[in-house]
Amino acid sequence: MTAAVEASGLGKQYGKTWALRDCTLSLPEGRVVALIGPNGAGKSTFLSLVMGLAEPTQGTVTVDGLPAGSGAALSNVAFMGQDHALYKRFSVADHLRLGQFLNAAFDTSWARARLGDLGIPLSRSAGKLSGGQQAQLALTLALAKRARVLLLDEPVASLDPIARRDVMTMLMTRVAETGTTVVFSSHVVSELERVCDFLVVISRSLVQLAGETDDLLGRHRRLIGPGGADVPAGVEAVLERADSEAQTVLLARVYGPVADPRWEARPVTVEDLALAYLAIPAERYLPAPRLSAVPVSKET
Amino acid sequence: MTWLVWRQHRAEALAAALVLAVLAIVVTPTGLHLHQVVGQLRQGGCLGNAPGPNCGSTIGAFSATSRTLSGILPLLNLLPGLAGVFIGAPLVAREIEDGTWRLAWSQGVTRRGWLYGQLLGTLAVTALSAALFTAVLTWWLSPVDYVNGRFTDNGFDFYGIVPLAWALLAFAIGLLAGTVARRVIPAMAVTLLCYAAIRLPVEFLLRPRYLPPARLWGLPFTGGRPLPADAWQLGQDVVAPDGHTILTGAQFDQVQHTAAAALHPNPAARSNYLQELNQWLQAHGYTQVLTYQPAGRFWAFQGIEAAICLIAALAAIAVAYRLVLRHLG
Repeated sequence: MTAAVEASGLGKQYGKTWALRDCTLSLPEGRVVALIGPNGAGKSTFLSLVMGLAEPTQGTVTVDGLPAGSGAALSNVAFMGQDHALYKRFSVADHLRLGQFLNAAFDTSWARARLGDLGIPLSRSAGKLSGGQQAQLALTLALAKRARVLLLDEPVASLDPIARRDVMTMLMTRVAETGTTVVFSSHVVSELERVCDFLVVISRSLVQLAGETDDLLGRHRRLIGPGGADVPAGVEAVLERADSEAQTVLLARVYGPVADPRWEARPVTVEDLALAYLAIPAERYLPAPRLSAVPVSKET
Repeated sequence: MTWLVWRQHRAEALAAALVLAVLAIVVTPTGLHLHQVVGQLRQGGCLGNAPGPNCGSTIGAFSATSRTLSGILPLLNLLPGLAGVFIGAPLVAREIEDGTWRLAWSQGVTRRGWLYGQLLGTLAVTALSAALFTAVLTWWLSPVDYVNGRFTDNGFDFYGIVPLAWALLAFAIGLLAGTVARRVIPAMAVTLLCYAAIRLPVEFLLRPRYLPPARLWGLPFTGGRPLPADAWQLGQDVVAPDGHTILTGAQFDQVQHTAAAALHPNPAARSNYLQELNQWLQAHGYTQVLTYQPAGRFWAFQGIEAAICLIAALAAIAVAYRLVLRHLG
């Protein structure tokens, strides 16, 4: 298995502000990668850099080993922007033609069928579609490109709950059937829980947490012990601590199972994890990815 | 890219065609009239230095029409500028303003490829429109050449390659303004201002000086027109009796003062005064000198002005190209 997206020391500065700093990430192929972070954290900047829409101020980023934005990389990546910008005076059919003329592998018939299923008329101009329909058209254009890496910036933000679920299901199907890598950003954590198998938490332009979802969940526990107790052995870092007379509740990164019988260990959710890290900007946990060449022990 | 460029810019192409069609319709009646009158003048032997006795009324009709024309003509200089305002300025600015550049540049075409396609298409529309504009005006104005020549402002601006060169420069200014301003309306306004700010000094300050002007010395104060109609007269000055010192305005005022004192003009016979003054000047050895650009330099001047415009246009396009490729996003 190789990396679909490889960023090394990647940074982007707008004026005096760093939108993204010191980003070294390796996103494995064939995964659903969730970028989580508050608005303005640097998620969109990261996606723009991978698409080649922005030039890095420092560092490099490659897609399937090709420099982002190069002619060869362009046909391997598809992108849907946060504002799902469309040509307002173009009809829906015009947008499909645009995709068809500008991309070698564009799947027009699939796109037509999907828009038909959604009840979006081909003859309507994009400016007259509803917000949700515009998002669906933008998403359809990105998907019909049949690229190996799909970058989606807040793809479901303007969709209703049912459409959200449908889109998420479709993305998972696409990943399962074609080995596509989907990287999508969201500031709503709960909607990702079900689908993402690789997690990246970004805040204040820095990557705080990145890794396989299973690995990350395996290394974190909610620990419940007696009131005022010391942190048990086997805990690497305490992310949250709530003390009361009766008990102490920790959210902790652990080296492995906590053997201390006074403590009960419960699993955590993606949402717990993301919120805990976002609350402590200085805390970072970036285990090396499980790529074929470098077997990584879980206990490092 | 071809389809996208056509789909995005067909409205501009259509508007340009419409403007040209309106222009053609407006100039056709006067153009036909002028061509007909010139035909009559030619047949009647009225063209040349010694018009026949029956030419008066025909020449009168001709002059009336051509005077109306010269009032309208300077306004037509704005038309090449519109290429910048309506084609150049929105090219990049609209993509940025609407956010559609992200959609356009995340397809399988590189930014460079996208820009080449856009430039090729819009430059073609600009060039074709400018060529048609020149063709219409050349036909319209050709009868007037017999009177005004084509080297003066009202001719030079509408002949040959100069209108095309200005349209391309206006386009380039618009492209750069749009790339820098990133918004359509401000870019359009800046384009129009920049076009005027370059065009007016070039036309009125630079153009007469592309080559050192020629001078025709020792002309008497009375007599016919010494220069051919298609030469471009820049100035007319009085020369001192020594035959080579051109009088300054103050010096000539002094001379006129002396002449007035000598002539004791009768206020009742004021209409003769100019004639008397001319005779007095001639009698005292004063002559005139004409400063002009010879008719033979017409195409050299066209070439120089076109080169200035095209070099400036290429520079502006190169800067815009760099900005789009390197600094956007």
